Amino acid sequence: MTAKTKDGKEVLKSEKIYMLHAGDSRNEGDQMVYGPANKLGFLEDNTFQPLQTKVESYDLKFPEGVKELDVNVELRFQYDKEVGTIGKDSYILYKTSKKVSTR
Amino acid sequence: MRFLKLFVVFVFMSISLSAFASQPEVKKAKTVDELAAMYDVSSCKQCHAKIFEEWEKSIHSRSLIGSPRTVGGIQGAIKNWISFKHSGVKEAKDITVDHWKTACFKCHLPQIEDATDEVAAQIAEAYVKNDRATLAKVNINCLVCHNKMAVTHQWRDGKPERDTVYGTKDGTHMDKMYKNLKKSSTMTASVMCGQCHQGPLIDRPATTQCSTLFGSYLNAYLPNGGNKTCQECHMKEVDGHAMFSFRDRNYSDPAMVKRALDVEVDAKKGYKSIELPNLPPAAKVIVKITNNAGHRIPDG
Repeated sequence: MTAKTKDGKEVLKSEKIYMLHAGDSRNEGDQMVYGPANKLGFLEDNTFQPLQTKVESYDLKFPEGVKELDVNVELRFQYDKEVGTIGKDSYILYKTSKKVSTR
Repeated sequence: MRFLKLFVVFVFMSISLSAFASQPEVKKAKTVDELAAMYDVSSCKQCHAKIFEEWEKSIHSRSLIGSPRTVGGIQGAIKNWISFKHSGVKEAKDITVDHWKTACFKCHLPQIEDATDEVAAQIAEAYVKNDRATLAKVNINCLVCHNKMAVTHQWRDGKPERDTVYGTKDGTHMDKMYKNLKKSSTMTASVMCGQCHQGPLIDRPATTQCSTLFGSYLNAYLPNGGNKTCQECHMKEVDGHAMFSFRDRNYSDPAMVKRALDVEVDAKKGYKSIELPNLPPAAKVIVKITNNAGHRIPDG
C-alpha cells in the first residue's frame, strides 16, 4: 500500500507478507526455514484463513499544504521475496487506486 | 505324510498370498521412457479432447517441474539427502525408489513405485543437471488419478484394477487397455485430492511438510461453516469432467481469484484535530480481505 502526493512524493509505504512461516521443529528452535525438505512446524501463520476477514488499517498524515493523496493498494501472490516478472514469478490478485482528500 | 503336510502348507500359503496380491505384479519400468510409456495417456485425448487440452496446460502435467519453486525445492531435498549421514545417499545416483517414495514423489510422481531404482537415479540426476526435458516425460496424468490413486480404501475395496478407469459410474470404457469403467467411492470426495494436497509427513525418515492444504480444509474451513468439497470449487461440469484449475495455476486465473478473495478498500476523508490544531490533517485507509476459499491462502 502506498500513499503519494500529486507530485509523486511518497507519504506512506507499507508492505506486509502473508505466509506460513515454518521452522524445522528441531532443537534449533525459532529459526525460519525455507523449502519443503526443511520445513515442518509453523512459527507463525498469518495467511488468509478460510471464511475469515482480515482487516488492515493505515493512518495517513497529510504533509503541510497537501490537500489530496493518491492511495494505491495492491495484493500480490509471489513465489519468492522478489516480485520478479508479473505473470510469471508473481500475480496481481487485486489492485485499486483511490484519492483521499482533507475535509 | 510329511511331504503331504508341506504341500498343504505350501498350497495354503500360495492361496493366501494370491488373495492378498489380487493382481499379478507388473514388470517394473527400467527407464524414464518406459515409465512414461507405462503411464501413456495419449489415447485419452481421442474422446476427452477438451479436458486433455486443459490438463496439458496444467501444473499436474508437469508435476516434476511444477511451480517456479518446485525444481529448486527438490534439488534442495537432494542436497539435504547427500549431506545427511544416515540417508544412504552420497551422490544423486544413489537415490532409490524408496527415497523418492518417502518424500517428494509420494505426490509428485506416485507411479515411481512401478519403476526400478535405475529410474529413480535417472530422475535424481535429471534434477541435478536441471534436465527439464527428462523431468517433463512423466507426470500426474489421467491414469494417476483415475487408476493408480483412484481407490483410497483399499483394504475394503481392493487395489485398483489394471484394465479399469475409475470415475463416477460403472460401465464399459472405449479403450483397448482400459476396458472397464468403475465407480470410485471417493472420486467426488475431498479425500481424493487430500491424498496429495495433505499435511506433514511426520512418520517418514525424511520428515517433511510440503503441502498443507487438506489440513486447512479439515481444521479451518469446515469448522468455520464451509460445506463444499475440493471438486465443487475446483472442477465444473464441462465435457463430463473439466477441472477449473486445470487451465493453469489458480493464482493466474482471474476468475478463480475473484471467487476466492473479496477485497474492499475504504479510504476515509481526511480530518484535522480541533483539540490539537498543530497536528497535520490525518486520514484512515481500511483494507478488508475475505478468503472465500476452502483453505488458507496461500497454500498448496
